[in-house]
Amino acid sequence: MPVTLKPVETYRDDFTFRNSAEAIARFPFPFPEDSYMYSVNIEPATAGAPGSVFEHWFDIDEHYRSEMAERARVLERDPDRCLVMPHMQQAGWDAVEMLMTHLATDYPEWFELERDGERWLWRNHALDLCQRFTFGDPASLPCEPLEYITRQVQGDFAMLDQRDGNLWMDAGMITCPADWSIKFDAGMSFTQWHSPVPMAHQLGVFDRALKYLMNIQVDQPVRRLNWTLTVNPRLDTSSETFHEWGGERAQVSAENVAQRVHLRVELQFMPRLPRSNALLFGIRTYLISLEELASNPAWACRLHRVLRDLPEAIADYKGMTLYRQTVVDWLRQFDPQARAA
Amino acid sequence: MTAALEVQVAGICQLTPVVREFTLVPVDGILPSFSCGSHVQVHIEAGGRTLRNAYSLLGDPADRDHYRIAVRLQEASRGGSRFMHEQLSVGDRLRLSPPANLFAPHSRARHHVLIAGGIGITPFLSYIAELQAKGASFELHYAYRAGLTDAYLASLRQRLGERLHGYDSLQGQRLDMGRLLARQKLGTHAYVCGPQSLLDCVREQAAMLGWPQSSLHWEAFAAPEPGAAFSVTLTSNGRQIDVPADSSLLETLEAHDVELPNLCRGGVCGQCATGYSSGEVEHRDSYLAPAERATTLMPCVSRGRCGSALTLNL
Amino acid sequence: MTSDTASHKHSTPVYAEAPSPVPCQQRIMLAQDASHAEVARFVEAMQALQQPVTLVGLTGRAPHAVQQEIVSDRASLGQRLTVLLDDAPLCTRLHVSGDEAFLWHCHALAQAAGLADEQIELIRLGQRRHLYCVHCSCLQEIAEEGEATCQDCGVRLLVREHFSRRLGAYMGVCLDACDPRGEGRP
Ligand code: HEM
Ligand code: FES
Repeated sequence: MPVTLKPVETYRDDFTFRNSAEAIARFPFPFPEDSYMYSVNIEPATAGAPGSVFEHWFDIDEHYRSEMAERARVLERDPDRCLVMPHMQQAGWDAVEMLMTHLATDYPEWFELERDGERWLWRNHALDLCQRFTFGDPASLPCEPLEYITRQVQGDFAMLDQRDGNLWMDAGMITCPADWSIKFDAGMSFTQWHSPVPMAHQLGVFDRALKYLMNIQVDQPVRRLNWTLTVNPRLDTSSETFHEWGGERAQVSAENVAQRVHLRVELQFMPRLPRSNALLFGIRTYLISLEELASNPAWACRLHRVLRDLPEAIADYKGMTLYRQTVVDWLRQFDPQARAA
Repeated sequence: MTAALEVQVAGICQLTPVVREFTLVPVDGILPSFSCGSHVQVHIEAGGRTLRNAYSLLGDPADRDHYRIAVRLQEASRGGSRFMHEQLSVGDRLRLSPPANLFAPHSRARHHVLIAGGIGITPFLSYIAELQAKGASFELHYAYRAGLTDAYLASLRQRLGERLHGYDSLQGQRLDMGRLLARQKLGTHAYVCGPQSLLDCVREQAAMLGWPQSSLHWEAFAAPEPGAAFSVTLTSNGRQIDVPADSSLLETLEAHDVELPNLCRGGVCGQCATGYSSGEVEHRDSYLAPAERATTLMPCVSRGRCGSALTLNL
Repeated sequence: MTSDTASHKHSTPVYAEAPSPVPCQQRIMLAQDASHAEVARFVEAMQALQQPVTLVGLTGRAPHAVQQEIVSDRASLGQRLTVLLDDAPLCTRLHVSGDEAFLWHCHALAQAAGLADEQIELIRLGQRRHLYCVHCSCLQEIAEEGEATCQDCGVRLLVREHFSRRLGAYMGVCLDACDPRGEGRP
């Protein structure tokens, strides 16, 4: 069934972003158990059920136009959120090819690609764009190839160069990160950019994950889910803008918690870029308010237990310490065991 | 991670008395692109068993309608290279694992020194196509035995001219590794592919000169050598499995439906690491640190020492 | 050493205590202040290794009989380094001594010239370091303090133990998002 795209809603100021019932039904709820701890939760990204967020490599949903408008706004103010080091040029073209071919195949009602050797014609009906260009020739596109295509695909993208037994964050389009900064992290290794994460290093999570990622083969992508909480449906929770949004954490109250606090889930997708041998790291973010989430009481019950028992170091790192108790208190009503106790 | 590509042999070319080249085309659709230095695993049904041998992709990575691989007939073959040489014919079908790359050029290199011994030339054919297309600076050093292990020599001469340095062992021509490495400038990366002796020589000379380790790259062509038969016991269910002399532990486990993650099947990638609790192991990998070997082994290459029984944490 | 291995879990670097006695074809030492006692100690240790040493200083002279030059400012130091490395043999080792900002400035120049991280040894002298304001991208010099005010945008910053080698700086992030510039909470 073709996706229906909503008119533009906002991820800032008046925050008009809402999920439809269909979007709630397909929300990637990230907890397989009642408790959460960091682990190497990576799995082969095999095609999921039709309609699910796992159906295609790159998921396009009802929020497409809103998200692309938000990306354009972030870039207007801070163009350096898209960064490509010179040795990542070929990887950029790999990304163009991968994204265009998958979108055109998976969403033919919105995207079309005609290829005649190196002469390509790209049509994006959702944003009303049409671009003729020569594949491999940067001068034939209005901007950097990675920027051109990722202005038209939901989710953030990093591109990792693989060398010296590590992955290096040498390119990316990062306009909706969960509290980190591409401008600061650019050029770092997998080990270095993960250094602020508590507990996981000691558990050996990153050593094992790195080994696994470096061995990803062409056409054998893997995925994992990560999560945090965000106050208001704000996509750009970057370190760059933390001084503008961080204060909202202090505004959560028992009255507004259900509308204001959102579960933020990242569907991370890691395919090998075939010609450059770089790794693409897609971070597709889904937001859902507690109120929307509680329309599925089993989810609300599980989230209650996860947040109640979350180790403090992780809760602190995820920035929810100020309002965690308020959230847990509100969610308790959905947990029959806790209510009985 | 087991999706295999179905291909058909479209051409066979005997390059030397011991080296055969195969052109493989997809049974349907197109083949995945690849980066230079990539290899595929060929699934070979021989003698009622499935062997998986890794071969470098030779072609220009820009070509997606066919793959080419070259196979050297190994004297101590377990049947893989023998099958490829003696039984595989045009029109036959094969299954391949998708391309993987454990031997990619370094993105920061300003000059590439490629050092090949015999059949070790194969990964460099895609390197050369890519480096030439990018206008990158490189030189190739190729040690061979004329008329036997000198595949592609003539065409390389034509394409590379001065950039090719050949060394024919029949004529006693020797590659002076110390001098080659000593004259390199900052920003050079060297890549070695060939027999263990060549690799050892490069590593030894590089260490003596103080070469940065990150500037030296190698791909060991270690088709696992056959060894003696031994047996293993699985801790989880007490099952005992005999590993025949001409089969690797990994292959034997797979034949008994014990699937382990694996990639290189040559003891370098680390994917197949498996714990063991007793028995004497002959470690043949280049992955594990010495301290890890007391409790971990790499079943793609390592074996129980002659007659020894191993207990695996599986 | 500047490698990851020593400080495995962190992005913050660990610095050299003595020149590592590995084989090499030549050693170059860049000193922010060549007369510093630590520079003398390193030069002595290098001479003992019997490998050719060239010393380039921004100020001061080393009391040792090594081939040494003084350049007038950072820009000419960069130019001199580029010339020295231009045709240098692969097995060149670079030693840099000075404050942290100086170290990573030279590190970037050396990497651009083709040196691998493992060929560069950094000797940190003094407490001065760089702070990167993640909100406005401004770099400023600080000492050991854990908090600072951004010179450019005025946001009060927490100095995180998160270090970028590319920027040669620690991350500074808003200390109190309810009151970014310390003007009193609303
Ligand atoms: C190569 C692709 C990856 C990239 C580019 C990436 C990037 C990041 C970044 C930038 C952060 C934020 C660190 C900070 O606080 O500044 C992060 C956090 C994290 N990453 Fe990754 N990561 C990757 C793969 C993985 C994988 C495969 C795992 C598997 C276990 C993983 C586990 C984590 C965890 C557990 C956190 C903490 C997240 C939280 O608690 O909210 N990452 N990652
Ligand atoms: S499969 Fe790579 S080490 Fe065994």
